[in-house]
Amino acid sequence: MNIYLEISENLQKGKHKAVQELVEQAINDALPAVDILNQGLLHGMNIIGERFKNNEVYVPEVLVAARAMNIGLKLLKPLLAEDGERFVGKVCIGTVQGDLHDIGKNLVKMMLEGKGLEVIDLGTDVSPETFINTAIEENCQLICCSALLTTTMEVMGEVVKCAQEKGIRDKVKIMVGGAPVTEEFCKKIGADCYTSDAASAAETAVELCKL
Amino acid sequence: MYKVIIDSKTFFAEEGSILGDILIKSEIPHSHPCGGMGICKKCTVKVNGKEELSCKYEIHSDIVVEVKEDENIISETGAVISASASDKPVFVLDIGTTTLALALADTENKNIIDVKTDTNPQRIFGADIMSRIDYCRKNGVNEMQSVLIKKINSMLSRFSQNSADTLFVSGNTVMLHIFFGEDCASMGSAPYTPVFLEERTVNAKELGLNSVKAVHSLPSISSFIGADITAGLNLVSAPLHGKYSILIDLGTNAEIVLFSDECVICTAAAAGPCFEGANITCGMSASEGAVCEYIYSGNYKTIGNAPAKGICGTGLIDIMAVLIKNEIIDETGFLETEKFSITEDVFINQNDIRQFQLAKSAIYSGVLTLMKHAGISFDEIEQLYISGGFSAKINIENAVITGLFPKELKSRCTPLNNSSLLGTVKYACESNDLSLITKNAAYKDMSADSVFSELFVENMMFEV
Repeated sequence: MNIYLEISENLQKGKHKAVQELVEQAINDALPAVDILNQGLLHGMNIIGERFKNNEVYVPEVLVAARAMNIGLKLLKPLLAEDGERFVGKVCIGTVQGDLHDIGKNLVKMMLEGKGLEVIDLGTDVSPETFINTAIEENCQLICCSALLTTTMEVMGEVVKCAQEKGIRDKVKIMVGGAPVTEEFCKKIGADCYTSDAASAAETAVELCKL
Repeated sequence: MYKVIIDSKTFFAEEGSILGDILIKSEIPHSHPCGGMGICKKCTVKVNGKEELSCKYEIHSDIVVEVKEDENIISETGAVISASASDKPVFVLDIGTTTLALALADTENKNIIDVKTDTNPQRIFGADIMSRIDYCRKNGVNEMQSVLIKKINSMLSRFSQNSADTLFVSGNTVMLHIFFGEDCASMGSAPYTPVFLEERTVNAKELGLNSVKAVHSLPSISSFIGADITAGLNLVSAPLHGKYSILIDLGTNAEIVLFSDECVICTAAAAGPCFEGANITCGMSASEGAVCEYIYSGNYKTIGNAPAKGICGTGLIDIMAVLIKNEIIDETGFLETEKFSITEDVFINQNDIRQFQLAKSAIYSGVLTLMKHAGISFDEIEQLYISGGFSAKINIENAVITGLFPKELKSRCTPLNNSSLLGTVKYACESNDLSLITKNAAYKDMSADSVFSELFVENMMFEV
């Protein structure tokens, strides 16, 4: 079997040790870092993302696969920088103020990275100002807001307002998601898009960053 | 103005108003489990003969509405009734998010004379705690308080020996806030600050309660660990000699407490809606027609032996155990077929299994996390107490198969039924010092706990 496919398959099974060894081997064999990333790690992560979207695998499998990807990515990062590998866009992500839940947010973050986006993780309990200031300072094209509680999702509306007040609403897109969030809610608060799962979030994020 | 006829009563609605809001004002028993977000699809009513979600239906004409008969939730209190008159009677009330239980107790002979249960009328504002807080944040607390007080008055009047002066009250922190008419909005987001936790004694008239004179509530521990848990801990005695016990209260929210005679550490896990059916496709509360026991293909029991209408918590646990034992799902919870049918209309699908996985892992991982923080092993656990309206009906063997409870503690599981009510009765009779419980208690927030996050992911799987 070709080594890229081997990396992909081990990643899908969440075997992080095997992924680490295979990536090291591929680097020693002087294979291009971009190919190891795209045909190995991201290939596997995309399959997991697709299966997640179709409800065939669940949060645990995605998390263990993502752990394997991160280990591989760490090995590749210095080489990718040398190769001048470019990110397809820059995103900041966080769970909104008053909400400390981060499992969903972390999943989306990993899927975003898997799609080649540069992600700034603001953690949980993030104020609207922090979202907007980060987007300005770091020149992000997209802000991703997560909330698990019906009582905290309203903060997403404040993020949209804050972007307007600071005059960057036309420069930045705002994506919302999380268990209580709906398409209707997204429209109501004037955010740009709602996605229902991590894989769709990543796909949509890439589209939005291209705009 | 349009005419809205609901079950042959007439109401008036303005153009564009939402049917669910009219239903709330009408006080016709009806539930909005997800709090009117249009997600759970369980508030269906018939509008001019067509099924509609009441929480999303906008009124643009005269309409005739048929509301489904409200479920009469069966809640076992576990009270041993010894009907006799008493010289020193008291009323004891447990305000659950879903059900209310009111007992008349004899403080002299320390027994219960009679018990009545009913559904919490606040279910029209949402099934879980967060939707109630959200309603309070948007509309204030008064409406929710007044429907509750009205219901309690009607329950009090149902006692034939209607003569006690004092009402002892227990319930989770949010329910007690609403009962006393305190704003609970600040408990909806971090840092979840409550208005009060301490015990309260007030004049019953101030709250609008008839037929009792004084109201006395038990103290809470934190926003998420209420007086219901304080009462539960009062009911069971703490193990001695460096041993620990665990109390899991399977209510609408699951609370987990690890305690010894020296310390009490507790946490809350959002697991309840799954066992009360709110986020399960064919899920329902434990009322007539709910599948409550399941053995295999066609071999099941329903509450009241009625035709199967849906699945309640105990039935769900049994069905999940069958799916695992027969390898109908794999260790990741993957179901190969579109659904697993119980009857023609009642089934479990992939999403239901995922909801169950989240709930069972939240509880199991919560237990392990508390044990890890306390640095203790399963050998040091004396008892695993399970409380809640359906705790005595849980098939422990099956619950362990699904990974809801640790297998190491299988032989040490003891159901307590409604430990909030029974523990409050005990308090009313013995006036124990509850500060021994509340002073020693520490709350651990799992959403910010890295140990929990790791375990939560691992324990979502099944052992096949």
